[in-house]
Amino acid sequence: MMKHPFVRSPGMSSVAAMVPTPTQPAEVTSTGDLVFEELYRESRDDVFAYVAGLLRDRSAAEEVTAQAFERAYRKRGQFRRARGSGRAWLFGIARNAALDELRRRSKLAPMPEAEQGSADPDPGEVAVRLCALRDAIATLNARERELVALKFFAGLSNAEIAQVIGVSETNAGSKLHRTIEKLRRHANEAA
Amino acid sequence: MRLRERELDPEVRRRLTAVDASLAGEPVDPELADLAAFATELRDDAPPVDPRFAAELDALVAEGFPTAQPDFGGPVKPPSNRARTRFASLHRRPLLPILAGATTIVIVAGVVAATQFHAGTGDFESGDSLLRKQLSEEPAPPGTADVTESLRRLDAKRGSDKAIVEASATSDAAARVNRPHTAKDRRFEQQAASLTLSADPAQVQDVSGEVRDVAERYDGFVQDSAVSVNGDRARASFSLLVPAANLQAAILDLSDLANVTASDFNTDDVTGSYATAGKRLSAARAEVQKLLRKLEDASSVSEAASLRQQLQIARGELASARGGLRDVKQSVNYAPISLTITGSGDGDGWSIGDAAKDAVDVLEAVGGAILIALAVLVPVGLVGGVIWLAGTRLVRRRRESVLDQD
Repeated sequence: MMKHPFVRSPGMSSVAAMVPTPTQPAEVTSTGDLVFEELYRESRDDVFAYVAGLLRDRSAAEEVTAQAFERAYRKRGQFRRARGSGRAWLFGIARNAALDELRRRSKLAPMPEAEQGSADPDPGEVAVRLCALRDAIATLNARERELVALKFFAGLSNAEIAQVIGVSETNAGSKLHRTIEKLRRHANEAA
Repeated sequence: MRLRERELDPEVRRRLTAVDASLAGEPVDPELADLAAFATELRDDAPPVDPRFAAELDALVAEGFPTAQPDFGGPVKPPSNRARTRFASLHRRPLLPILAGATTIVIVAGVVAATQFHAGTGDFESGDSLLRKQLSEEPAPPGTADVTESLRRLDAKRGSDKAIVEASATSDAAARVNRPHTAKDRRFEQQAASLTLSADPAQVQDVSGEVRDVAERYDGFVQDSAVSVNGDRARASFSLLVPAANLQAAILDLSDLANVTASDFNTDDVTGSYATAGKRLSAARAEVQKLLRKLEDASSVSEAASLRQQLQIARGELASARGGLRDVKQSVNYAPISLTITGSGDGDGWSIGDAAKDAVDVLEAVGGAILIALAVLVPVGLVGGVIWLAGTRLVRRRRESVLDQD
């Protein structure tokens, strides 16, 4: 089940209830320290979805996700609230790990074909639509695919995306809009 | 300077807002219903997490990522990853501030030591050693007496071997000055010195007596003196006149009577005045001789009377010129010493005033050291910052280059 931050699962909502104060971000205590466990619970599925969307390889995504959380765990003392949200910080670490993996794989062997979500697509209209969507995603370049993964798979806000990829929020919004339009166009053509 | 960024196109902003609203499950403008549906379709197609992987990762987090990790069945993890991670966390620790602090302390300590330590001699500066330095730098006048002997006496009393070596060097310098001068290169200098000593109030009287002894020892004399003692405060002042040749030796002996708190030496070249006075005397003599010869050859009583009158004026001028030359010679041959002895209870002890003065000296030295340290560290920090920034950008660019390979 997809656990999008905008629509939390029951399990996640119980974690959200542990937030110290209503105005405080979930991953930060009143003193500004990072509460790693809460950040992990809120972001585990999102990080995996983003990494898997970028790498298009579930096994590699699992490895990279684990690496990213371990790095974040080791560096949790370096987190500074003033530099951005805990999620943006975490996704920055995950992005570096994913890009390192992509670079390593590009030197070793050709990228594997994009994995399909299910082996036997349903014959119904939804399944056809899903296939068209995946085909359309496959036509995107890596930068565009990353934007889709950050926005729709990981559920980051435009400001957080801007922080993760190192551009301004306006720039991130423009890029995202162009990517969505391109994706819609390809999806409609494929359908 | 960063350029001001363009605003998002209103239509683009409206569509992005619709996307966000649809992802949040909020109502969307019907006109953008297709876009909203597309966004939710994308969101629902996010790769789900395998429950087995999720459970294993949960366990790792709960245990705080122990050293050995389970195999997730994915690609082989680079063996250097853990070491790299540890190294990264190590080099990101605040080593730079620690190193900067240590460097600053070393520089401060070095400058303070250099300020206090007399370079080359290994002897800490004191009033006496400063005085000795001043004296050794003073050019000795013609006919300087044996300064070495005085220095030796002072050093024997203080027991300083190094100072004896220094005295020998000064002796050499004096010997060089004492070599015979030719008429052309002979210079005449007027010297004067002032000295302030600090002594215990009870000792001011005794020290004053010793001042007279020193003046007599060097063929000088006390022109005038005043000694006053009032309870725990005492003060004495002397005007001495000593042969210029004995000035340095006399000053050294005087400085040995109590603590030197101030000293001042002045030397004026009066060669010009000396020559002028000599010429004036010669001219006056010649005039007198000339008038005498004329008087001998006078042919009338009235002429002789007139010459006698001129001769009287010329003799007056000769006496005046002789007196002028004598004054110049005396100012060259004898040097005045203005000596003050203060006794305010802080003569040989270490008072609050001394402490305050020392504190100011230390603060000055520390301030100077900090300034020097900043002059070194700021440029180094700036260069380091630029290198770090360039390195960070380079690493990021290399990482992201893989995104452009599709």
